[in-house]
Amino acid sequence: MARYVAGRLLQALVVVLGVTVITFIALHVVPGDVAQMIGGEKATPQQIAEIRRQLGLDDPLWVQYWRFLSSAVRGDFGISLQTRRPAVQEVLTAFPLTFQLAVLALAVAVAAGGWLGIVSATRAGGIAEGAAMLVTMVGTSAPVFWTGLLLLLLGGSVLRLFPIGGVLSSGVELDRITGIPLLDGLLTGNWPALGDVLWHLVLPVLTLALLPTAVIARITRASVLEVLRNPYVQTARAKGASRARVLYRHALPNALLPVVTTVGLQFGTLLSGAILTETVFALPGLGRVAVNAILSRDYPVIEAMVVLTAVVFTVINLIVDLSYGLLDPRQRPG
Amino acid sequence: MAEELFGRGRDAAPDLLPRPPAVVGAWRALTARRRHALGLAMVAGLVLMALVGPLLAPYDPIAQQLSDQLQPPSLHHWLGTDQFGRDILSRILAGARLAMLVGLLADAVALCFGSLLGLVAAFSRSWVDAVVMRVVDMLLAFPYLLLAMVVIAILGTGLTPAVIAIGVVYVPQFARLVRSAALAVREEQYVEAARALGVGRTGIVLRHALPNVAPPAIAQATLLFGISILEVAGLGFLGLGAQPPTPEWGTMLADSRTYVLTAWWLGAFPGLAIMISVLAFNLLGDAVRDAFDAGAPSRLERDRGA
Repeated sequence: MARYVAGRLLQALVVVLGVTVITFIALHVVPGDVAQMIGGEKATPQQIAEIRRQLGLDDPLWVQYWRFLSSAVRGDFGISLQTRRPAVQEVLTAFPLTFQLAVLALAVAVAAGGWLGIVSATRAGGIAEGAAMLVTMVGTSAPVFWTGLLLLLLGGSVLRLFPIGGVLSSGVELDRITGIPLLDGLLTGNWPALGDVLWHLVLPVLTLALLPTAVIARITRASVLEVLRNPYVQTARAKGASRARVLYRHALPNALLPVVTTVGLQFGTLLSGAILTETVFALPGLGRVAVNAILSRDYPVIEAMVVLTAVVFTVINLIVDLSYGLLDPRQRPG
Repeated sequence: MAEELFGRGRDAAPDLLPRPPAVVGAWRALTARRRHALGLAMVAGLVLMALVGPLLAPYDPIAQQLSDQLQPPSLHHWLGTDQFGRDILSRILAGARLAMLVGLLADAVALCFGSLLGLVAAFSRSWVDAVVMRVVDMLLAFPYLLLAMVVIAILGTGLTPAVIAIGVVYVPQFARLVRSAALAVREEQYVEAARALGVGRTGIVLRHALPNVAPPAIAQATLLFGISILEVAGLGFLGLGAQPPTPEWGTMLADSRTYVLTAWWLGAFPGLAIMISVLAFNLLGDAVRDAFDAGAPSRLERDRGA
């Protein structure tokens, strides 16, 4: 096991290094003259040359890459061309909000999708099956930025139940500790703020959860149906086990493995969806930082974002991979 | 030859009956199930809309008519007008043509480069395979939108860069799919026979690998057609794709944000158009895959990628 984990860790490290190489080539080498961009339109050739010298753009490529990598390891991606603050700080301030949104949406999707999948597999032809089909169809084909706008219209305007955007109501104070509003509310025991944060999160979380709910419902349904066909399920039934016991003791543990794989794969889609959802609900998360950085060609911020996201994703993939061994003894390496 | 004589066995018998022409066979396979037929009909409708829709459009999709600002749906403007008085129906019809072009182009990028990489990896029999596949794995593990954003950061905003970006995002999926299909072909006896007869590597790839790799790749490309419409619209919504006043569905939705609480028709119809397109190509993609029923990726793999 230890060897397997070590091997997987090494692999993860190689992936992250690979991402830094691709990012470096894509954003340092391809886009043309960074010095011109920093200097602006009116810079004289002497000024440009000075900037090039300062940035070390005249050094060989591998020297530049090494410099990029060794500062990146120390969390230094340079200064944002836009705000003049450290690029990594721009990303780290925005990341917790996106993370919170994605994790909550995934939790909702696992609960709702798992439930829909199980119920629609065990009670064919019922309302649940119809609901599962509808959620699957709408969830996989409706653009998240459209369902978000519709929910905003319905929940925020027609029913007037929820706020139409933002993280907190104006006038509500919340001390920043982790940057994740829900966690900060819990840690400081600030219950009114916590409730307010949750209230603001309902619509964005529902919006973002729709697609993964659909995917998880479909996989769970297919997986449960397949497991229920196994001889050992019939044996259990023949021996007089109750419906619930057959389902929860015998079928589900085996049916859940493909579901875990799916959940792991959903993170990439979730982050992409989160960026779009944040734009709908005017949340100052990674989406806003990303779009602003690209529109203003703020390369240090883009680089920081890409590399940090790659690290987070590699860690998540690693955890998902290692969790197979816990769930299925057959997957445990010798 | 040996395959002909011994390999078929019992399967040879039905060949004694006259077989329907290939077109009939394909048609039967694509319409075997009701939902598959529905997908085919919806896609046909979309293509028709893209071809003749703009000709039938009642108004110019771009010309502003400020006296008609923000009109709700009516007999004059079936789907209402936007903040510049432009007819939304006409813009959606013009958008349909763009959407079909988006799907076609993104597919072309992903299919060409993905197949090339996959075939090279499968037939290189060297370190090239390992390097290509590690890069592919790396790109697959990445959130697609971020990858698309990197491409846009290089190329700049606009509809064409957005389409290229989404095409690039799906290159790894095609590379993996084509490689695994090609690896299976590589070990077939008839390929060995061809090699023994002195057919070169290029010849084997073109004559034997490509025809076998095509079915799963085409099924995947059909699905991607819809997905790329959705994702290019997403980039448009973020302001990174098509720019105003282009009548692109995602850009129309972005415009509608300001008016979501006062003029619902601005956003409702473009979103519906995107959803119907994605649904149509999802259904058709399932139909194509079932029709070929060969080595297509599992649902796990193709749910909008990793």
